Amino acid sequence: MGPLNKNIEAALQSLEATEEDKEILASILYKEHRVLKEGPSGTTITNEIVDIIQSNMRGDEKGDLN
Amino acid sequence: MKKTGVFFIYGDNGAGKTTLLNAINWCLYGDIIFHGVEQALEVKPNWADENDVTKVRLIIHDDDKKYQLSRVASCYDNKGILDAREIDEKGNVGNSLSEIASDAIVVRILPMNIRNLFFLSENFSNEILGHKSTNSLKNNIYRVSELETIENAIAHLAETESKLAADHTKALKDSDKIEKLTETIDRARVMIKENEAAVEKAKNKIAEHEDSLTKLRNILDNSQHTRELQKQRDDYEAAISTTDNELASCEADITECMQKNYQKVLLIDGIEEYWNALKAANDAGIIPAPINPKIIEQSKKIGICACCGEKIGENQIAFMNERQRQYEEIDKLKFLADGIHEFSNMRADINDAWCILRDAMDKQERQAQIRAGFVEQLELIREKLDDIDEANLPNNPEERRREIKAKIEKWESRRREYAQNIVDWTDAENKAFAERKRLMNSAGSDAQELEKELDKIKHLRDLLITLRDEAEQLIRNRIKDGVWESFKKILPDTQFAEISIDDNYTFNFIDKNGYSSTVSKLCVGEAKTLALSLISTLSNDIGYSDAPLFIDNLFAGIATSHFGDITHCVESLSDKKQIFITYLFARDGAKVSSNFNPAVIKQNIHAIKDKSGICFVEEDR
Repeated sequence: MGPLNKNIEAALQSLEATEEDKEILASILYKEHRVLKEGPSGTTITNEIVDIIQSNMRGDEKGDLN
Repeated sequence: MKKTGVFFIYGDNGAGKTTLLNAINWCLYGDIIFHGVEQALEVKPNWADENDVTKVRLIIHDDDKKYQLSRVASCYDNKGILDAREIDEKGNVGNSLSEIASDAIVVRILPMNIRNLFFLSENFSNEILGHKSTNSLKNNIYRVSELETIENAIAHLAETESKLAADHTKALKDSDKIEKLTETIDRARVMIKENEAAVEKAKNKIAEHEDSLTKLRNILDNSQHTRELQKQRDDYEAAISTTDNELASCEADITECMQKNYQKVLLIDGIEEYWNALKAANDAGIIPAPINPKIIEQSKKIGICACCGEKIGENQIAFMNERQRQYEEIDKLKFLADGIHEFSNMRADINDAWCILRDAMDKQERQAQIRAGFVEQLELIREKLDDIDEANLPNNPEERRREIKAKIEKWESRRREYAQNIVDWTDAENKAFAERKRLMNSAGSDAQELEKELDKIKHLRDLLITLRDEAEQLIRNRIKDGVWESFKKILPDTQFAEISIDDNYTFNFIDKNGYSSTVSKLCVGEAKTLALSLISTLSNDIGYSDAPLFIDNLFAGIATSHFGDITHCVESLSDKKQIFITYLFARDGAKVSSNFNPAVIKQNIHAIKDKSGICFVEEDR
């Protein structure tokens, strides 16, 4: 998924949530991680988050979440 | 340089120790971290000319690769541009890498957002453990441990939620409009159907009344026809009556004629016999044929025989005169002559009677034929009249016709009204349909979908908050444990028995007597030890345990009694990384502060120096 902080990764894994929600959260956090490390990549982060959530709600392929 | 170890930068005040650290920071990030002076000129030595170009070049090792990083600035461009080039095994410097590749190299060495944990000023313990600056402990931990990532995600989800909520509100309004438009469309369709039915009904009514009108016209036509038939009937009856009279007249004439000439007809045969005898006698010359004197006179007058019609001459006249004379002379023949005359008259009468009778009978026959024709026609007319039900004839057909026409007009008017209604409702439906389509297209997603997304986002935000709290707790515990272990290792004789970190990221110490104290109660040496322990723990946690550490004036403010602890702390950190420390080392061992004891420092430094490389900055460059 991405080089998330291992503490956050651990907290995410132990979070009481569905696997699907965890995947969405991981995707969002990865985006945020990239923004922090590399700066915004064109589109705004909120739009990317909406895309992630909408893709998930539409049942798109998991690969699209990234 | 070695990849790990402590590198002291000696020098007097103004020698350029801090400038050297600033130069390294500036080369990497383009700004100045120490002294708060954000000018590239700060990296220039004091003696440099104003127009001199500032240039810093670093040679770094990143895994097995070697890079040359350089940045050049002038008085017109404080930041300059980072120029990264790869150096091959033979020491050849390659072409400039792209800006992204250059930045990536810096990120691998040390990301800018956490560099304040690695470029430490002389007051770094206050800055790192304090709460006021942007480099507070909490901020640093959030930044370094990427809790900031979660925090940003929460904020962005809130933004997203706010944005979607606005869309949702708009969609709800649009949805409301769409619903109303749908109602309008449905109502329009119902009204169109109702009006179509009404038009159909009106048409039926019109047809019905037109049918009635047609029937009325037919009845009226029939009535006229009846009257005509009745007249014909009367005429025929009159004609028959006339012919009956004619026939009766004929019959009367025949009867009269028959009665009048009946005796003559009965006598004619006897007279005929007598006439024949007389004629025979006359022919025999016994009795001259009686000639009527009137005939003789007439024949003489016109020159033609009144009996035979033949032209008479002098001889015939003479004969007739002779005969006449004889008649006149022969009285005894007078009776015979009278008889012949009478017979002649009778015969003429009978001939006349026959003519009359024949004419009367002919007339009677013709009249009978005419009458038979009249009777036949009359029978036909009567049959037709029998077929007509005269009882159905309206009393006032014209008024009835007007009534029906008025009804037709009324229904026609209604039909037009209903038809116009259909046009109006169809127009309304079309407009509502187009508007609804426009709204549905512009809405993008409907309110229900947005509501689901909003619920999802709220749910995810709640999860992220939980995640942040749990991760934060986890990180706090790890930091606390790591720092405490490190702290105890560096200060084995510490008076503290326990360390804790509260929600505000304030370290609390509990001494062996059970009394608690905060960081503010620690001496500078203890605080710096704590801060270095914290940096060690954090850098291990985030995968930058080998990132170089730059400490400006490490021993500033530290009691000499803590020099040993600090050097021990630095030494433990230098196992994994390079540590660059500036140190004020006065020329000729001059004492520059009350806490300064060069002998002790030198002793400890040399202890480290034995294990690590040392970099000197001479006071005269």
